[in-house]
Amino acid sequence: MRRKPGRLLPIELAICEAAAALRRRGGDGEFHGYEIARTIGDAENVRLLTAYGTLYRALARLEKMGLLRSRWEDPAIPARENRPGRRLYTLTALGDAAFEEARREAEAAARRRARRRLAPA
Amino acid sequence: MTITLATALRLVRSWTRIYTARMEREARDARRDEIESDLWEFHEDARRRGASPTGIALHMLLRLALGAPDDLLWRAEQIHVRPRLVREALWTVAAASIAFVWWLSSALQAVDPQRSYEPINVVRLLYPVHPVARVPLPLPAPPPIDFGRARRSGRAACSAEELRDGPKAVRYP
Repeated sequence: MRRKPGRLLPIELAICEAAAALRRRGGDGEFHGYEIARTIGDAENVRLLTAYGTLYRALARLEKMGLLRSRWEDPAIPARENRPGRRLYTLTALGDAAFEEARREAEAAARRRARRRLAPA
Repeated sequence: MTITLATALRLVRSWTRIYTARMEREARDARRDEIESDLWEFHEDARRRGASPTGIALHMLLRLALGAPDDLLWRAEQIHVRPRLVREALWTVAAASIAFVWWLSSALQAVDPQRSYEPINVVRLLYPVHPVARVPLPLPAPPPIDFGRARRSGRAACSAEELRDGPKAVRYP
């Protein structure tokens, strides 16, 4: 999908939205890839989660754009819990602002569409 | 762990190793570890939700297949190949596959005009050699039993044994 300058792609918007939802739910605002895929799946009420390639490519892109920040968790934790280590992402202040702007634009576009539908021919 | 699930896990790991091969160590290891973590989390979560191992395996394979073009595009970005080239190559492969199936169906039809070689039948014919997606394809319905003919000939539509044990084998055309 081609990106319009200064715009987020739908998958990027969905990731930011899921990250904001996870932060609202409580916790330290850090999330890992699978958590995001599950949150997007639950929000959109779909059973098939975002594909590996699509999700991790989008996460890498968002990090490169400065909207997300990531770190690997302390190796002692996965060793204690007997599982692979998680890469933990956080929404940055820039990511927050970009998401809010994108959300405002999407709402305004939806309102414009609704007005156009209701307008007499 | 069932064979299906083990195979799905092996396929996802193998594919990840393939598309991250010969890349910078940091990017390669990060992607492999991230996929490994996702596989573990997904497996644990699906198990907690009561999903069957086959369901989990199919879900993993679908996530793998749907994300494969993005994996290749990500690799292209990492090794500084223009993503447009990869996208064009993917479209070319898809178009060439369709053209090949169409050509094969026409060629087979010309060689053996008695049988129907619709493109979907050709896909079924090629299907056993397909290396990854062994998802069962829908088979045509078995021919209906002609009760009228049985009545006309005075014979039963099926034997007493078949009536008791069910049909011995269903033959597809």
